[in-house]
Amino acid sequence: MSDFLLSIRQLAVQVEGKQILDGLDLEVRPGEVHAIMGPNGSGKSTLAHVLAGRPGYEVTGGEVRYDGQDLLALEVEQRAAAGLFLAFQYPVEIPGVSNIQFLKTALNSLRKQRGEPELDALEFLDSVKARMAQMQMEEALLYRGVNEGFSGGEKKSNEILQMLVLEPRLAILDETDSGLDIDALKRVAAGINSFRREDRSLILVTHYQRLLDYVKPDYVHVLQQGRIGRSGGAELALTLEQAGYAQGAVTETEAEAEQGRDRDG
Amino acid sequence: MAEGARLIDTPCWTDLAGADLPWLRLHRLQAFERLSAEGLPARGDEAWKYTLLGDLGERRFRVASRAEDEGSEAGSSRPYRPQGHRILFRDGRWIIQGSTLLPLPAGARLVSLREAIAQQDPLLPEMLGRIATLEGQPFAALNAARFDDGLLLYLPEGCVLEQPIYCRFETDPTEADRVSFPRLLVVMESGSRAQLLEEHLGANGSALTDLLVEISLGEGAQLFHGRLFDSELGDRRISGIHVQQARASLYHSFALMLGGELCRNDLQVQLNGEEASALLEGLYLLDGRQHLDNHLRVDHRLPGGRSDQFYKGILRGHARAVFNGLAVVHPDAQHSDARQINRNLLLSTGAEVDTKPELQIEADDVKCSHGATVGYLDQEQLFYLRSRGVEKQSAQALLTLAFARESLQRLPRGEFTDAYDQIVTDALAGRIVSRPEPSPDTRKVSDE
Ligand SMILES: Nc1ncnc2c1ncn2[C@@H]1O[C@H](COP(=O)(O)OP(=O)(O)O)[C@@H](O)[C@H]1O
Ligand SMILES: [Mg+2]
Repeated sequence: MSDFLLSIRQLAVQVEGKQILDGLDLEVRPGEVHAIMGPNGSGKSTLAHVLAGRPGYEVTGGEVRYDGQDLLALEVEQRAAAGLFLAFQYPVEIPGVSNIQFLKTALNSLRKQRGEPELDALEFLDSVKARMAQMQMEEALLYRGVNEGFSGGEKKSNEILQMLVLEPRLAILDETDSGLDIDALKRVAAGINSFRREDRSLILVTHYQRLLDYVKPDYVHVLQQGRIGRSGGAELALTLEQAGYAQGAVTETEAEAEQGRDRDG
Repeated sequence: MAEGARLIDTPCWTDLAGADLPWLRLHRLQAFERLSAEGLPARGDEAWKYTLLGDLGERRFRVASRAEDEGSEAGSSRPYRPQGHRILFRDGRWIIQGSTLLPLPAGARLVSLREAIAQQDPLLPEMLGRIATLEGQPFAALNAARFDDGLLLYLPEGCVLEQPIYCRFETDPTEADRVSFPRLLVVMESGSRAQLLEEHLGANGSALTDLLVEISLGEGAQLFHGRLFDSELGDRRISGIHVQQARASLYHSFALMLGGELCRNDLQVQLNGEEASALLEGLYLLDGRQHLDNHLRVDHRLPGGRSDQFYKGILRGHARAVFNGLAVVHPDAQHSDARQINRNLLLSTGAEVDTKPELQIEADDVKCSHGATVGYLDQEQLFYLRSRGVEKQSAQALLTLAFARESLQRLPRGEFTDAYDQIVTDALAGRIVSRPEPSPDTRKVSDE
């Protein structure tokens, strides 16, 4: 039995006939934090979406194992029930469904799929409010439509709030740091850090190392030409920041060595 | 039992209320002559081209006798106990045993039209038939020629009715091919306020109701007019609502339409005073082979008027909806604000919508916008919900309800607000459970 929570091998993905991912490998153990970096358009969101099961992507090769299961064979909501969570780069607005109703429906659906009883409404409300206080979010946001008219920062905080309430085992945060001012970034980072636990893993998708000043990753990977072109420790993010992605182009052997190190732990 | 008659056959004039009143005879005869000359709408008729009248013109309908209606125990099983004045109409007749009126403020009148005619209420010759346009409105003419009962509401200056007036319209479910012609006249003097709530229920399956409503709002008067259609498949309801508004008055109409085989509403509002407002809202949930037509027309005649047409619909099966909204801003109506929105959510590929919001602007300094959409559920929203663990069918139901909520949120607060909300929730839970997979495109007809 593998000790990986997530294991991606040779993943190849097309969007509208265009090859976006081409032979991507990635392995994540429980408790680890991985950062995936890369320039705009390199396929970071594509990877995040494919893992979450968003329609419109064609997997043309490779496989993804999650907690011993074939992840790609699961329905979107089954992946959520299995503990996968995606914080959206562009959170979706749903007018007419209040934020609190959304959170409650989501949590109860997850519990139902796992064969757990529904939560007591008051207990639930208290725990949501406590987490909002922690994120310094205004309670009024609970009674607005999901993300409806939220500022950029409020939308990103709302994604983290959902993560804290739904308590996934693997959270993929797609550019959660982008568009945040420094105070908002610190709040979001604090939320992420409070989520960290030895049985919970994180994949931070970002193209700046800014967030990584506050949430220290165990590994940093660079997505290039549809695959992980380079991997390293937290210091790699700083190198990239100074040298840029183009300079960060790496040799096959280097990449293989990094992957090997990954695998051997 | 008497043989039924075709809609355009000559009525038996002497049977109708007030048959001996010259002004009323003239009103009916003129309407009948217009109807005879113009006939019922034919296929080529632009305003009726989508309305599936079928064999309506040839069919033989029967009007229930007064004795039958009053004696019948039949009726809807739905409880009818809202707080307010409750009036029960069976086959278009005010049924005293089923109605409860509360005390009215001084000078206010709320009586059956039949009673008002018998009393020779002086308001009738002055107002009845003076608000509705019969031109191009064959079913309004039909009602004018044949009505026998209905309601008169009169509120004097400054009179505020605290309790809403509920009017429930039922058709006798035991008799096939019933026809009825209820007629409502609402005259509200300046500063008066009221809430009028129609409920059209029925399980007849083949009845035709041809309703004509005339409303006159004095300066600053405010009327909320709720209209609920929740009848079985097979029922046919055609209504004409004609409103004239004086300065700074407010007419707020909200129609919640869940069906019948055929439901057609012609709503015509004349903003005859400055700064008058008309909020014309509707929400429809259709299924099977139901057909719904909404034809709205607002005439802005003086400056500063506001009209807001906001209709939304959810369709599945092979249901069909028509929205035809027109706002005319006449040359003197500067600073008018006219908006039209019609949004439709299709839950099946067999459902169909024809939508035509139309602005006709003859003044230069106005604010106008219109938009219409016909589309399927938003795939982004669906994915977002599912990614949080909400199962697909629940996510679809949640989004569908959210679509409807945007309309429901526009209702004023009242006992009926919760009732409408419940009806919509139940209808969506009962009906929209599964559906064929639609293609995720959204067809935008036009937008603001
Ligand atoms: N729905 C789509 N249709 C067509 N091309 C797409 C679509 N989604 C993404 N792409 C393309 O896939 C590539 C990778 O995009 P994305 O995964 O969003 O990159 P990143 O998140 O790294 O910026 C880009 O070239 C983008 O234009
Ligand atoms: Mg991206």
